[in-house]
Amino acid sequence: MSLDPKSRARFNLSKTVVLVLDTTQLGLDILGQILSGFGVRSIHKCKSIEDAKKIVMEHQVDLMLIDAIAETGDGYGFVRWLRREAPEPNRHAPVLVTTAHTRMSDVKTARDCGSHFILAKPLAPIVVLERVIWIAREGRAFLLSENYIGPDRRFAKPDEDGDHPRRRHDDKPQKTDTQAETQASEAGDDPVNFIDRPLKAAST
Amino acid sequence: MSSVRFLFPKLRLTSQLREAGGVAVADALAAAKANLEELKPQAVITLRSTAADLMTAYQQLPASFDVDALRNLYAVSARGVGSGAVAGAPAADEALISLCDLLDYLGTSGRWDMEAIGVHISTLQLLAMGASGHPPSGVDELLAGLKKVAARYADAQTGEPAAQGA
Repeated sequence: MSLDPKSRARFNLSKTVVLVLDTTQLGLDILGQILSGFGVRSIHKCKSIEDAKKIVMEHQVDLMLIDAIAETGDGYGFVRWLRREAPEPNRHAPVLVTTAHTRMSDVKTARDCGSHFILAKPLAPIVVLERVIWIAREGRAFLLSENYIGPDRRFAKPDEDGDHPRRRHDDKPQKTDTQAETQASEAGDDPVNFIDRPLKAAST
Repeated sequence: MSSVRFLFPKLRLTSQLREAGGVAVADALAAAKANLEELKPQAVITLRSTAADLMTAYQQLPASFDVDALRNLYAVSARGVGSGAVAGAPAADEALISLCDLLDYLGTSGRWDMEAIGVHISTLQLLAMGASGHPPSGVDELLAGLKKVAARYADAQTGEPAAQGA
């Protein structure tokens, strides 16, 4: 997953409604400045979980950047709430969790909260953009089970030699090299196709 | 056996990204960088304030293990992560993250090491003072030293004996 920082491929976030949760003013401002640079015009900035829940209940949001709130882990709890109790379509909205640090006791919670990605601070604009484009890709399954609700994380990318092992013995084979080349050539200047598509490893 | 269902929600974000107009990747990244530059004075203040708050909290630490004091230090240091990069002192973020690691290890293991905490905070102060100016020399060595100090307690988490000396 890599984006050429010199790319002239265009993307449009001017109509995207973004929710940003961070308990620090500087954290909110950093994400606000990054997103403004990307052309985002509508940003709901929230300094508390309560404020973020209120926005989710009252507005349709296209993308969420949620700070984990390292000292309490409450940001993970917010994502769990979102996946279970928020109204449609916000319940399935793309979520990037940002975190200053992950306590050892929070590793499992972070993994299972239902976010699409976890981004470690300090945040670099190119990393934020890469992840936003990646999660915007179509066809990503959403998994609902007793213990986990969130994006299907069973993705695998072939190694450079194309010899990536399947994860389970009954998984279907991944795309061939020819298919991957076709996909790359079709990507052109479309930024959504610009980043390598992670290949789904398992049949569902 | 629990049931598992799959949905394929249609994301508005996907179609929005592809709409005509918009901005080129290179221009967007340049704009974001320029926007962050505007935050530099605020980030310098936040970073120095974080370093000062940590030193105050450190000077009030009890002589033996205190979980509430550790949590307070952890919260202050975690909230500061990210300010260094914008302030022009990225090493300060690394020092803060190393301090978070150390405090997490100490809190989990019930161990107490005032010196290890103190050296992190002193180093952070030094790095914060270098923000928006000349960074202190030997930054890489300083950071390597901090990580080594924190790693002593990471080893303790895995049941291995902690190495002596930083």
